Amino acid sequence: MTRKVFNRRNILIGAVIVVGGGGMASALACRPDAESAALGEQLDRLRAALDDIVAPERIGRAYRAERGLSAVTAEFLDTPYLSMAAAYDCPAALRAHLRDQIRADFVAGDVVVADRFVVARSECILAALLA
Amino acid sequence: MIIDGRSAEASAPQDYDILIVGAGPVGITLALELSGQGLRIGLLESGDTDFDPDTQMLNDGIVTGHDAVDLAAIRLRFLGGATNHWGGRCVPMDRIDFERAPLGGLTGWPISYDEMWPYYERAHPYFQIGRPEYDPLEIGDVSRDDLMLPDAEILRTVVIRQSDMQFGPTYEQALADAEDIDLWLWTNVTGLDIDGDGQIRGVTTRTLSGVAREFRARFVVLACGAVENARQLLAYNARAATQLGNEGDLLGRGYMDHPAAGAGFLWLDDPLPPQIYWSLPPDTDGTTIRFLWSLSEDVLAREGLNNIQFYLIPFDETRDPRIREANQGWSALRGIAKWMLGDPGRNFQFSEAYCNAITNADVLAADALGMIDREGATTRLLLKYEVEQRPDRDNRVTLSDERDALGQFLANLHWSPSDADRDSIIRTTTLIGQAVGAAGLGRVELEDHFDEPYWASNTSWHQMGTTRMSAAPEDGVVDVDGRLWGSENLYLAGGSVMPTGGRANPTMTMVALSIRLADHLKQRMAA
Repeated sequence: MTRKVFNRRNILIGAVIVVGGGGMASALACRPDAESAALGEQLDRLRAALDDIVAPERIGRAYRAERGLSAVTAEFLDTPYLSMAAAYDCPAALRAHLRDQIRADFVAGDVVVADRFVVARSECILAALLA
Repeated sequence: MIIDGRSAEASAPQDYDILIVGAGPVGITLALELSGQGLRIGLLESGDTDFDPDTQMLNDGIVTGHDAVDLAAIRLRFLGGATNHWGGRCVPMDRIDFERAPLGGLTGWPISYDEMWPYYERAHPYFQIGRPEYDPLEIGDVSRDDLMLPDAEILRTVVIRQSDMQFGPTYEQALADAEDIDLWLWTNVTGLDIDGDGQIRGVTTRTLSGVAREFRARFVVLACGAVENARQLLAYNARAATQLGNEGDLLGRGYMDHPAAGAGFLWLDDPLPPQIYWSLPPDTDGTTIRFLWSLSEDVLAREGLNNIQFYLIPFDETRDPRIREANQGWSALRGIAKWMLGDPGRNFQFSEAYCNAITNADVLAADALGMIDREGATTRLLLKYEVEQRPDRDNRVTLSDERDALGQFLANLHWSPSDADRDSIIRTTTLIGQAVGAAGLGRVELEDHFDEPYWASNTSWHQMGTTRMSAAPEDGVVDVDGRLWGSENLYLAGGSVMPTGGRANPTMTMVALSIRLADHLKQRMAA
């Protein structure tokens, strides 16, 4: 899995940070990209979120088995909050964004038992597509 | 006064005002509560003041269903009864336990929490557990910041007060000194003497050495535990070809335990330093306090779930395994020190303690030198549950065809926790998983044994039901006072009269009910 940390855009942003000052530039860096990326690229960016999922392989396997990959993909596309997260270039901001969504799932009771883990729906979708 | 029932003296029928059968916590409390009223009280104990294997085998019986129960082991047949091997965990039942009808049928408690509370308060001194305080925020130095998930709607932190006493050694001297109490040891009830109107005249007894005796009394209280209380009445009904106390065909039925096992693991997002839930802080009065999780009563009612309590137990693979060995070693050394001071405690065995101390000597030395990290953070907690079992008519005590050494029919217990009990545990643990996820505390992984027979649960060695308390004779076996339906002067006491078990370890409720019965009997005697 690769995170495109050193792409041209980030280098540019890094330069802006150096030149223009930390606070304002950081805010710019962590703003969602207005252009939506293709699905593969979106998922690639979301891999950073796997570090926050307790047992992504087990959860992902169980959820794929229960729902089927195409259904999970459709769920992902129907969950704007997840695809929005992929627009973040800053991994920390991306993970914070997803944590908020996952927390919101738990609060709303959108909970799944996947291979005995009690997890949020968003975690299942991410694990199923990424792990 | 304590009397050895094996003595051939006093062979004439013994007359008492009140005869109590069984000198466990319930019988002892009842006798002490009734003492000082100008009554003659007989207290019959099957065993001695210490363990006797032959007497213990009178507890044996046949079990079907869940094979975790061994009737010869889960109860003890000597002074103090099951408190000789209990865990000492004291807590009243919850308000909801008295308010709602049992899940899955049958009737609930005919008395209220508010009516029971004064008796719970009075039970505390018997257990030597300090003040009757169960609000976690009123315990010791505990503040809201010490609670895990204090804002979760579904969860609440509950408190158990830890008793370190056994009723036998604690009250033996008081029983010996009481001029109005005769404690008969080695004295096994072999029959109830009941007339055709359901009035009990007394009981017949026999020792294992063959000494037979008759006891007469104005009132008789059976306080022998949920299996034996039912067994005695079933044996009487079988002999007399009657159905005393069995109008609703509930005698012996509705047996309950608290199935217990791991429900799951809580994988913490961030390592936690020691918390009150596993560090056992003392209350202001010195009583050791256990903090547990339970479901809020609103959620229990809304979801129709069994009441349940969870121990949070650190379960880290990285946690230093020497902590357990060191604890065993220190415990052994403490026991040896007490033994040298002449106060060894009832269950102390020098050889075992010596072996433990020697085996763990290297770990003890490491611990003494501060080389074992006891303050290590925890990343995983085992959620160990003790769950209310729904009363079920099919879980019951009957008489088998086999007989014990006294010629009495052995008890046959069918105990089979239901799928509904299991599903309630899974649902509850899932709700906890939702709460910890919403709070950002971690994730819950359910245990992998819920598909196994009886979901790998174990007995808590609690026995309840079998002579249920009810407001009407067709709904139970005893009335609100504990009096057998159809009799004016035969009472039952202890866990057998509990229509539901809630989540609470039952001994405190049993003793509170015993105090309540004592008040009732005092009033009747005065009248």
